[in-house]
Amino acid sequence: MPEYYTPALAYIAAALLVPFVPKGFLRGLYLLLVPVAGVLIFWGLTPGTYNAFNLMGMQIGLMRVDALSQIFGLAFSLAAMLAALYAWHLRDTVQQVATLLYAGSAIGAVFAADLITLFVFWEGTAIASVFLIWARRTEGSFAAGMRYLVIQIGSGVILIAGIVLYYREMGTISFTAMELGSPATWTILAAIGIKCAFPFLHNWMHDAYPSATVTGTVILSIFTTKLAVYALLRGFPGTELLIYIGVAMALFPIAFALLENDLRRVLTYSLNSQLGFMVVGAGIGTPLAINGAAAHAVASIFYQGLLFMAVGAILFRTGTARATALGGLYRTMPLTMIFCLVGAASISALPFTSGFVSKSLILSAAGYDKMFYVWLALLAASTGAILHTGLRLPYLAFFGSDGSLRPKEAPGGMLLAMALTAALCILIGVFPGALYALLPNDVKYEPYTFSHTIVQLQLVAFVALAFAWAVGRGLLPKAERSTILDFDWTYRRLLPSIIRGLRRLAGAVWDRASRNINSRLDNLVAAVFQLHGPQGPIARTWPTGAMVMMVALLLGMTLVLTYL
Amino acid sequence: MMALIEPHLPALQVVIPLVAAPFCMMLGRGGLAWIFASVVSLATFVISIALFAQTYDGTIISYHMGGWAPPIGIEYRVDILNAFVLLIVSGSAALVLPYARSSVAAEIPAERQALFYTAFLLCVAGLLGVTITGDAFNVFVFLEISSLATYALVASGAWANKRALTAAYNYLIMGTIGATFFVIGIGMLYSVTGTLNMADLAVRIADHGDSSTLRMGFVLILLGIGLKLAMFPLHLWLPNAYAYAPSAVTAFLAATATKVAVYVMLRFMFTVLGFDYEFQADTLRMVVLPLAIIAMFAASLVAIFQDDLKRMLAYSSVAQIGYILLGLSLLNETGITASIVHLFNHAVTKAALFMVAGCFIFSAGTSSISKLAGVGRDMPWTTAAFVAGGLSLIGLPLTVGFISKWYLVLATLELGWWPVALMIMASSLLAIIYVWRVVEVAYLQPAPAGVTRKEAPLSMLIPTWIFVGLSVWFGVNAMLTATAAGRAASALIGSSHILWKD
Amino acid sequence: MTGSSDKTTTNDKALPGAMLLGIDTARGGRIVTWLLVLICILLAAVEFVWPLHGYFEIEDQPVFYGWFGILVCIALAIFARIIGAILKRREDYYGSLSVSAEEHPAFDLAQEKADA
Repeated sequence: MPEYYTPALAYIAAALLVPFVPKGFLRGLYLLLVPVAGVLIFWGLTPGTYNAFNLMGMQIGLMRVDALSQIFGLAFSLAAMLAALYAWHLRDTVQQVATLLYAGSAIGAVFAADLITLFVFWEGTAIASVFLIWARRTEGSFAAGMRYLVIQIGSGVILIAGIVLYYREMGTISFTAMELGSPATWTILAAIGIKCAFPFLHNWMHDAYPSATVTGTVILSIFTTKLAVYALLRGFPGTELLIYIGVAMALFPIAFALLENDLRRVLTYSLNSQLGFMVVGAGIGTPLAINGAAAHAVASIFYQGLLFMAVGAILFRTGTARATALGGLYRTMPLTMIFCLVGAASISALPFTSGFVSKSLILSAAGYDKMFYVWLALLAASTGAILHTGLRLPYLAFFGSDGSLRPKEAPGGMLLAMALTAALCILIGVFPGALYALLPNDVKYEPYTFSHTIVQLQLVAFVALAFAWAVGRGLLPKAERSTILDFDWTYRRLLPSIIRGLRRLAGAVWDRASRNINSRLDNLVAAVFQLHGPQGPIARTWPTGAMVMMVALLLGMTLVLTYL
Repeated sequence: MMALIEPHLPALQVVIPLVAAPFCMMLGRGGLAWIFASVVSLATFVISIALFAQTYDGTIISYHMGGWAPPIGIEYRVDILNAFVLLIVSGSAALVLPYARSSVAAEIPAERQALFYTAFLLCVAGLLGVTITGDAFNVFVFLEISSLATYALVASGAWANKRALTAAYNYLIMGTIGATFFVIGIGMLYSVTGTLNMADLAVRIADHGDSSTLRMGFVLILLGIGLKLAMFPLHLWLPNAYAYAPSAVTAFLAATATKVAVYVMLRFMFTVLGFDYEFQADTLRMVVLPLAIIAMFAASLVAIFQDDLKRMLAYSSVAQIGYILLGLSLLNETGITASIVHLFNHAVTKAALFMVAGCFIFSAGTSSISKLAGVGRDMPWTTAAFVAGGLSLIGLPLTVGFISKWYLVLATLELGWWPVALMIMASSLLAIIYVWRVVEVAYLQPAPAGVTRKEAPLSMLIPTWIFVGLSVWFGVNAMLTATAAGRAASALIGSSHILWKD
Repeated sequence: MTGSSDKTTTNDKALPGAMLLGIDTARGGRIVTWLLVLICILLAAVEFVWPLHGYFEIEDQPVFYGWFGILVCIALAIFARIIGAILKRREDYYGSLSVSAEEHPAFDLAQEKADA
């Protein structure tokens, strides 16, 4: 096999060719087939590191095949295919190319055996994905994309700094489990934390994802954060700190998800909360917990993707994803509604859906280790998920107060993509064995014990009852056209105003000082300009004689040296 | 057939373009001559790929012209270093010629185009000859062939701007002085050793040891070649020559002419001349090194203030040559690796950038930066190519510019000269300024009303983007170039008779 | 149900989702709520017939998951209201630098065949 082979290559090559494929049926088919090509590259390989070579004295490995990388690679590929189907109607070459590069980078990162390769693809996901936001082509999306890009690139820069430190410390760049403790590993964890949307590092997601195009948001929801989860599972399994971060992460977005009016932002908050479960799993670090985190990442790619698809379909047909404008859509978009409900059931971990079989693993892992408070907090977060995404979101969109919108049903490509994703959610739920067989650790686990099934049904049913009751009494926090301030307020409002204040303060001082310095600086620039400006002696076109003079001078000087 | 040709590849490398040149002249008006020249340059490119492949593992090919054994006969000697440079020269020619079709058609009258391509082929032949030959006098001969052709090529810019004539004249005077210095230097070496074959010279000079004649010869060769490669402050001919030559010529010369001169410098400084380590090292460190650092700053500063894009890039070239000279005057293996890898990296980057300038001249009719306001919208591909090339010039990671600076900084740190490392980084900041100026004008300023500019034709865009692509490809994956440069550097050090022996 | 329209026009009868018509009326809401009450009672009853097993003692409390779910819901509703009172701002709080207040561009919507 050639040295540079990685699934990412298939995507990158395909991305370059996209503009030459005629738009329409052929283009759609082409985009569907790329993930297949990507899978073929790693499918059936026996575990091991392939395509390793030496670059400037460092061991680069483009293809590490093991259970962990394979399950993520597979889930990403499948999700990329479903997303391509969902975007069948799309005729925007920029987005199509960006999608392929983005998916390719994410998959390439998953198979990276060393940190440098990881870094390259890490930045690749950042750069490619921002075009899905900019493709909305509005002022707001441009600004949001810019903020997103700065933070994502920042994550990459922090990562490379960490890698450099790590290399100096350990003398290797291979990407394996690390011990948190040195500046190097802290830095790397911070970089992953940004992409994983740890609390206080999370705002880019809620800022940028709802700012993308209809299809862009669906695609964005798949890769970046799950890649970060993968990196945590690979790099920091069993790091205790992650348990606490994960718990905080699972809990705090709930309130925001309950308040938000933009349904796509509701979903980013619920995604953030689900990521918390995975981070807890990585933190517990037992074989069962790692399995749980990986399984939940895979399940969440699909059910969260399905929810984003359904809301995207609504946005596509009605022009808005604001809860205040929607409602009563079950009349005209019943299929979308059914698919959305399947996604909602999954995130609520209703038995016989994918959420049930994956979330159970993490909760059981906490249970086996007798981590009572962690377990309780995750149970509360599950309850929150049932409430804000399992019930509130479909209620606001499809039932609730009739927004008098009577749009058409979603287009065929979207429906088919949603149907397949919904089927996948149910299939995983009904036949968990297939998913469990792919998990990295060999642990026997049976989700469908009688007790477990019943208590989960109890939880969902009672929460649903509480919800129905609260809706009837109008006790739920109302959705309003509003902005809910999150931590990004600090850098979007507070920081600029502090800077403005400081500037005003400094302005007075500066004015006085600068008059003095300015005149000196002016003199300096004038001197530089006099020497280097177009008419300066260094830039001037010299007469030939003067040039020769210079030669003679240099010759003389060098010759003097000869006789020293 | 292949077996018949293969042993003669070194000779064919030079002979093909040299013999083709007069035929090219007879092909009448533009089109045919262009096709012919393109085919010839492609053939030379294929040959140099073959030579590079043969020498990549360290093999040295020695070819005896006419079957006369050296040191009496002329020897063509190909090792990885000059195979690498051959690749740069012939590759640039093969890519510039497709580009030249439209560009030349716009800048040179049809009846003179055949002559233009003839001169171009001669120039290619000369540069390849300089690189491949193992005979010191032969270097001079080919240097003159390439230089004379270059003067003509630069002067052919006169149909667009009459100043090309004075630029060519200045270049002629300076180039001739340089060549004269060089040939006098060779003469001195000959008077001491009685041989002109470089390998033989190296042995005899080492045996002979230090003498004032050799010292004189050393200084004259250093300065002669210094003139040819535009070592600051001997660069004065370069900005005008690059600015007023036809676009295709500028792109080709920027990629090759100075690079070949650097190669000659490397060959003479490290292989041929090995009589006294102290003296040679001191000269390089006390003369070349400070001048290289001054060039990095002074030329970059000038570039910042230039209004003409081509002149700006020309001054940037002078600064970049500073990096190359700095690398070789560090006198360690990493430094020389940096120089050699930068030969390639800068060739690719600058060719791309000068091609962009050519596209601007072709479509917008000007290379004045202030008149390019808003061009990013009208010519998105061309301007994007400039951004990509500019990033490489700055030395951003994932571009070739980064690879060069990485090795260069590494080399200075090996010696513990961190102030020099800081200066390298500081001068990169200057590059950000002059690249940004263009980006700002092109993207952020509105286009003047009533000005319409079409995107450059594909025949110009594709070669430009190939160079851009190379500058990214070899920036991401520097294996091939870095390995070749590393091996060339160690070969150079291995062949030296005095340096590195302490 | 607050603000929902109780009218079902003949027009709506022809819509693809007509099967569910009325579910968003006050009456529909009541039916759903009572259905849920029934389900909850059944599920709670199960527990008393076949005892369940959990990881922690607290799970042995009668219908733990039921009342825990309801308690968390109440707590979250209150908490969300507090957060809302503190952090809710106008939609155009961040001005033109945010997509919150702008409409989704038309070229990205309902275009099944046209080029973007």
